Amino acid sequence: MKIRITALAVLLILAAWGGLHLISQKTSSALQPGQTVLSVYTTGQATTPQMPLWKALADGTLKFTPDTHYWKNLDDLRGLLLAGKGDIWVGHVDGFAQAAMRGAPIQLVSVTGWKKFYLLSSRPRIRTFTDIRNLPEGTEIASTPPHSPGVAVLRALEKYGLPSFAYAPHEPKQLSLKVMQGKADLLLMPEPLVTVLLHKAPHLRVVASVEEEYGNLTGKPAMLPIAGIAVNTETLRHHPGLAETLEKALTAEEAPLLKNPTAGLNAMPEAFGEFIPRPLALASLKRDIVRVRSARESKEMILEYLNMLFPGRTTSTSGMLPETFFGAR
Amino acid sequence: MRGIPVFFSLSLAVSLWWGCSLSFGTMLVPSPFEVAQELARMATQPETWLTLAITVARGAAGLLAAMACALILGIAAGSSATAMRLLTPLVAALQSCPPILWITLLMVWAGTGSIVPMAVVFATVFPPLFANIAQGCLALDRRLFDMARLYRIPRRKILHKITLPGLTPYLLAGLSYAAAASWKVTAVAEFLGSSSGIGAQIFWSYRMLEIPRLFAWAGIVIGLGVTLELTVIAPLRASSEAFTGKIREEA
Repeated sequence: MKIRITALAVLLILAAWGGLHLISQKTSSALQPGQTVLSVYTTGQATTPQMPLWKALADGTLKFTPDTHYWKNLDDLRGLLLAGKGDIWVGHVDGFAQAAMRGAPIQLVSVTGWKKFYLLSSRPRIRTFTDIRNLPEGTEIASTPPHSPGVAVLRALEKYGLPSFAYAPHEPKQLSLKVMQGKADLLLMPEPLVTVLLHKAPHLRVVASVEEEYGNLTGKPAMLPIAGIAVNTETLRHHPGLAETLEKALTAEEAPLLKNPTAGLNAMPEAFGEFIPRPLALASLKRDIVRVRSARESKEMILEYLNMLFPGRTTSTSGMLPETFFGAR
Repeated sequence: MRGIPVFFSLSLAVSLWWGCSLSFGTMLVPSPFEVAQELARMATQPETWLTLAITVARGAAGLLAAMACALILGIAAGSSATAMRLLTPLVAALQSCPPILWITLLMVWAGTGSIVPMAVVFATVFPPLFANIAQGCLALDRRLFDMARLYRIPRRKILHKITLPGLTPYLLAGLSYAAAASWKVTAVAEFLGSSSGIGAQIFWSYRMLEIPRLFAWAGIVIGLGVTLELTVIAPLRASSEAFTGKIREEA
């Protein structure tokens, strides 16, 4: 009886502690007098798309205190966007657009991730993209993360002669494990995961950049508006100049980051090191590009990219993707 | 003597686990020793206890809210046979909704966070609690209510002296099921729809492929489930059976 009462008391104390923590967490996220606290939802597995944001915060160009939260995967991000939870989001442009088409309160501020996807292999006969093009239809390519936009881009390149491959989606670490066990040898993945995996499996090599091959096959610039930074339009009602301030601050960070990308990495919160060790994140920058363009400026490229991802569903003229998504009032 | 079943079950589980670890390799199935080390390390970290506290708080909040609503609505519905007949298909429909459906919808409506696990626990345990309480209310001896009305007993006293004591075995039976389910449902809802709590930690361990940590969290989930079973659920079940027996004897 004594043990039962003790165990029950411990459970009650735990419940009270947890409840108080959740309540205090909620109130500390709210606006506090004298300082602006904005919740930033991001992922620890992205580098270049969020470097301008953290650098601008570290430089003091952006004058708000970030309350950082991590989204777990693209489904989690989609849920947050649809529910309008958060003030600033770092994520995939396609995810932002999908949520905006369903009425989520999103305004894309800047596109900050332009070159991400790589094809890797450990097969001795696969050295170049031509070798990949010569593979038979239905060859399995292990891809990560699940629902990777890289797959949609490669599917779109099928009309330019790329064979129709079978893309097998994996969680990043699940794929790493398969590679190390020798169960996957032809991969499609984004940076900085490419660098992480090359470090763990030196027998792998980068065969081609998806964006480069997209440029070669289509004759368009070898970059795609993959990731960016968006704001909650509800937040903009309380902070009317936030989108413009953010856009200006992020754009201003491009030149210093091109000169010294390490400064961008150093500005990122230490907790990011738990997802990707800092030396590996630094090494990944040689394959990544720092480029910041406003959503308005990138509109045509974004629409073209989205048409590739969701064929026939995204033209802003049809009203599917609202003009406010690009910052129109 | 009382500890023999626990010792036997534990030894069997650990032996099987060790066997799997040896067969599949420690990369996929870490040894019990590795997991014990990880557990010991985690036990010294306040974050582990806070994570546990968050999950317990969410589960308890969902369960308490469901119990309060089930009591109010169950007594109201159970007081009338017609109301019960009309509501039974709706309750059956709600009972057949899998938690995953609520999780998905709540992630769209409320985003990820504490609301998802709490609301999913509520949605999962409310229908059986409601059905139990309403059925219990319907089964109460109507003659007691007629007599109370005849002697003009106040409604509050009727509730306190006739309805609630009569409902106790049904409430306890429902609660024993709800307490066991709420704990598991909270962990699943956190896995999918929250970035904190034990479920979320299991997700991150899986995502980062930290297998010993994943097993350690699994151990915590099982440990807490067993604690709940022994301290809350089993006594509730025993009380419910004792109460029913007492009523039968009195009858």
